[in-house]
Amino acid sequence: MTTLRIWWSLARHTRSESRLPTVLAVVAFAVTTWAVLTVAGGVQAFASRVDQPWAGSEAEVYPFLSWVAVALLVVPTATLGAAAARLTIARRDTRLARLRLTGATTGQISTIAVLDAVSQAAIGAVSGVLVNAAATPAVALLRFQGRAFDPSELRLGAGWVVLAVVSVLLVATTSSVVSLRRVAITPLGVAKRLPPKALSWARVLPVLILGLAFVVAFNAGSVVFGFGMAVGALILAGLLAGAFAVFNLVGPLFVSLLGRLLGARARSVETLLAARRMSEDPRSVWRSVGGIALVTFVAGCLSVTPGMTSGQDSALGADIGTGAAVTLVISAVLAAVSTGVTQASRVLDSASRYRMLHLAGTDVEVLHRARSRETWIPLVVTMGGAAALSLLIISPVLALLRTAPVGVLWFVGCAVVGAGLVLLAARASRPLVTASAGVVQTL
Amino acid sequence: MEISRDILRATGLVMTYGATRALDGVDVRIAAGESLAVMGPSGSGKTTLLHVLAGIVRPGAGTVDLAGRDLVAMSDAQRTTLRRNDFGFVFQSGELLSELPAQENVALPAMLGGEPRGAAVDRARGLLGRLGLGGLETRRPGELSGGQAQRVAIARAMIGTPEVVFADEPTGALDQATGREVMELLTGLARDHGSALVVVTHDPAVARWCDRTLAMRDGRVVREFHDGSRSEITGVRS
Repeated sequence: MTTLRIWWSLARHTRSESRLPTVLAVVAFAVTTWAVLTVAGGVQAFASRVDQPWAGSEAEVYPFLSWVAVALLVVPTATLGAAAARLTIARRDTRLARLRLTGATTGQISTIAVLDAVSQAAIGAVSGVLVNAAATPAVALLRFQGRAFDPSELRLGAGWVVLAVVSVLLVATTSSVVSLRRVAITPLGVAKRLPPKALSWARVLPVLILGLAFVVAFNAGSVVFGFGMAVGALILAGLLAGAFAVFNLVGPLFVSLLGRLLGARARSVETLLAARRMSEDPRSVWRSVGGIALVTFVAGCLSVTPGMTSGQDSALGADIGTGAAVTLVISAVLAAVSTGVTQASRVLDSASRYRMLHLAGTDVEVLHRARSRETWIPLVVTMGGAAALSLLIISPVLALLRTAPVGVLWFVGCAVVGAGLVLLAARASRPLVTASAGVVQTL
Repeated sequence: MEISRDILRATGLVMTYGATRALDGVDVRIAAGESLAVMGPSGSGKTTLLHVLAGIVRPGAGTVDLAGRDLVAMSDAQRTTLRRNDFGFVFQSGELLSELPAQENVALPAMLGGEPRGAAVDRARGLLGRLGLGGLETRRPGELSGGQAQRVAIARAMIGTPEVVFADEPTGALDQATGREVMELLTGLARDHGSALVVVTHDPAVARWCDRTLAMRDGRVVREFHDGSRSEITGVRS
């Protein structure tokens, strides 16, 4: 009871300058919930259309494709939820340290921190449910299988909505507990941020295992689909989700390597700071750019779809394009909010250093440029790598891009818009940096 | 005509925060190469004085002159440049960038001033060697002890050969023996570089390393001690 009372008192007396991170965390949880509900609504709608009298022979493919979209969105959605929980913990260090000094136990401190994250997740999740309800009529305008949705097709039952909200709360709880392990609050009331754990090359191992799984699955394609379309689709969607999880494991390793290479050659302070941050905490940098890199890869693979389906009567080809675009938009929004939240967390973690750097004569613009570079450099490199990889995969049918160049335009457009959203989100935390650095001017 | 050796001169400084008068008509003169300790109890205005002298904040009234340049009349951008080129700073807890190795933390101000990275890092390594940190140049702050980290901070403050070094409780987070070492290095290096040194402290043992000590209370300089007045300096704390 006492812990609850302390938490409530802290929550009520949050000062106005701490509100931007709170708003960001709530927005992030809301976007996470909205994405989960929207995608789940789509899966439900396509599944229900299979049995419709007007459904053609291709109707069974749509639920499979919707699961592919789910597989694509699992990682960025979970990443965003986790980033939001980390943001909540990041800005509480000092207050929790003071509480520890005044006699609060480690258990009480942990409970307060988790309650903070969960309460914001709850507000965000409820907001996400409302946003989803409001946006469903607009989403229903999307045309698949030659017709728009009826909003009722996309609306989930109460049980599914509750499950989605509970999932978001679980992600928030787990992530806040994990984040707390990085902040050691001593009995003297000092919040010490422990350095991130070094990455192990063992992360490459799952790539080999998954590669093997893909080879087996494709060589035994007839066996996989021998279980029926639904089971086969689930196995393939699972493999795809596994591929993205592996991509997520290897991504930070790649960012770390990129940081080291860049750090060795950096000439300017901004690039040096960005490079060192990339090699110091590559997981956090990857969170900002990984989602868009994944989507670039998929968009690249799908760029040949218009060429493959041109001249056919079937709506499937066009629908794959529309579905990929919708998935890309959702991924881009998730990645952009993730970037904003990650950057805000990082600024809050570094607030005192920004203040001292500025005090010692560093222009705030230098700090802004360093932060900008730690986003756009890995963004451009990982997107370029993902695009190259996708082109390698579609190389046997690359000629199709010539017959239907719209696929290229669509791919490039998606990538540019996605990257633009991420960069805009990175700029959103500029006021936090300025405020951190500028505190000394108002002493 | 009297030739002044003062590098930094402040007159009639007034600074108020709401109803509190943090500085109440303070005059300070610091000669080139001189070390000055500013002592006083909490709330006496010593840190505010450091911030005003370093051009971090503008006083409500008064003047601050650095070798003929009026700090109070400067824009924020000009004062930022001045702090980078003419001043060095040492803070209580070092405030080093955790992601940079020691040599890059030290080289940072020189690089910000336009020096090529290679040259700046070479000079940083030299300075770290002089401060007894040879062999630790590539370690990150998290891999250094408190005393070692503070020596890195001193090297960072001195790399630009500043006119004035400002140190705010530079030994506040260290044990007595390490604090002594740090003060010896700080005052020695400032003397070698011809830099003036302003140290804000509540510790008489730290103040004794300086040529002169100002005692502050309620925003005013109440006493001034010169080198040798050890027993009197000890009395300031109480």
